[in-house]
Amino acid sequence: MSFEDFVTGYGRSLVRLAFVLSGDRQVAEDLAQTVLADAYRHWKRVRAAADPEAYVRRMLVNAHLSWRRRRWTTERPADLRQEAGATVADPADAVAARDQMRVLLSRLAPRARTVLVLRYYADLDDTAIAAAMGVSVSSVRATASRALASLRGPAAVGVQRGTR
Amino acid sequence: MNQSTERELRELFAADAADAPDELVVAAAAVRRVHRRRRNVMVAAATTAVITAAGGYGVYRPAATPQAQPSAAASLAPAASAPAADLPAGVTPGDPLTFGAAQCVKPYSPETLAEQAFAFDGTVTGIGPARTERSTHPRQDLRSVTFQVHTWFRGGSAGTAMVDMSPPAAGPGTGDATSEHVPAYQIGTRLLVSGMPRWGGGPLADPIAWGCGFTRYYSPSVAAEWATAAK
Repeated sequence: MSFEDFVTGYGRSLVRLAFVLSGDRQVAEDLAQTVLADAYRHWKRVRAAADPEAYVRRMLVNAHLSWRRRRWTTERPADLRQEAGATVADPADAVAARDQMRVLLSRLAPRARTVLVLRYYADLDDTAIAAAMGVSVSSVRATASRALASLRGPAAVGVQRGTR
Repeated sequence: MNQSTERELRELFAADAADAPDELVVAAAAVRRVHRRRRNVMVAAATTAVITAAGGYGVYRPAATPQAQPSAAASLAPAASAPAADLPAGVTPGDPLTFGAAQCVKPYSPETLAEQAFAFDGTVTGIGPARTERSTHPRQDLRSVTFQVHTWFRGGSAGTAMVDMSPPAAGPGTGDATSEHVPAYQIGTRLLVSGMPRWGGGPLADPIAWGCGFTRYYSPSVAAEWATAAK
């Protein structure tokens, strides 16, 4: 499989995953570009992997968490609703619940949000999520459980602090 | 409640994904980034090589004031009576030993050979730890090589000489890709050696042998050229 074949087959899903993970178009482009550049530079190693897509997805998740960890410790959004609306366009603008969900998601710790994205967007099972994030399956389950709990209502704000 | 939250998440993520950037544009930019980085690395490597070469020349170049030269080249033993050159396989008498590009800042010629502080024809009798290192400078991988000197062309008169050189390779063309830069010599190898004082001073103060043709496997014809050039 050539790098071009890989991009043709998996590039779209990777870029989309980067976008859903980051929630920011510019960051998603940078993230996906960085990871694809790394994959291109080390293509022999990627190609030799049992599952090249999973290999590069793990690279993407690691890069995302690394980037987010740095930002998470230094900055927090001042106006979450505005930030969420500005970075990800919502075609059904009237759906207030979706906006509210974005706000709550943006308050989650990067690792918690990543678990939810991998589970409910990428449709990975907990074992694959654990492999992608380099954590245990039980850790994935616990993180997902706490993250979901924090999204379930106004009381979530207090709960979600426990997910950081 | 859980089902509802999960469904909302799925719908939200799917809607977001639809607005993702074009993957082909991103991939093309990634490939361009790699190529640009490779070009930059090549430029940086070339720049480093030039700087290293310039630094090497600065270290090894002759002092501004010519070193005191011996009044005459002293021949301690006739070349004809010296032991036969013990050359590694694949080496032709007169072939140059190269010590790396950093020292190749001055091309070898009879004229440039005449600028060397010392030059002699000798046979390797011992190889030991380097003797010219200084704690204030980065260490180089060098060996102190002892020679039985057959003929001094310049810079000395003793029967033996000890100069620092790059460590010997197993043989020419062996080892990794860098081995071509490492001289292949051993005890018994007869060489024509020339060089400079590493840190300045007299001709044999911390002497270091130059590569790039300035140190060669012995051959009678090259030895004759050296004798003429050093006059």
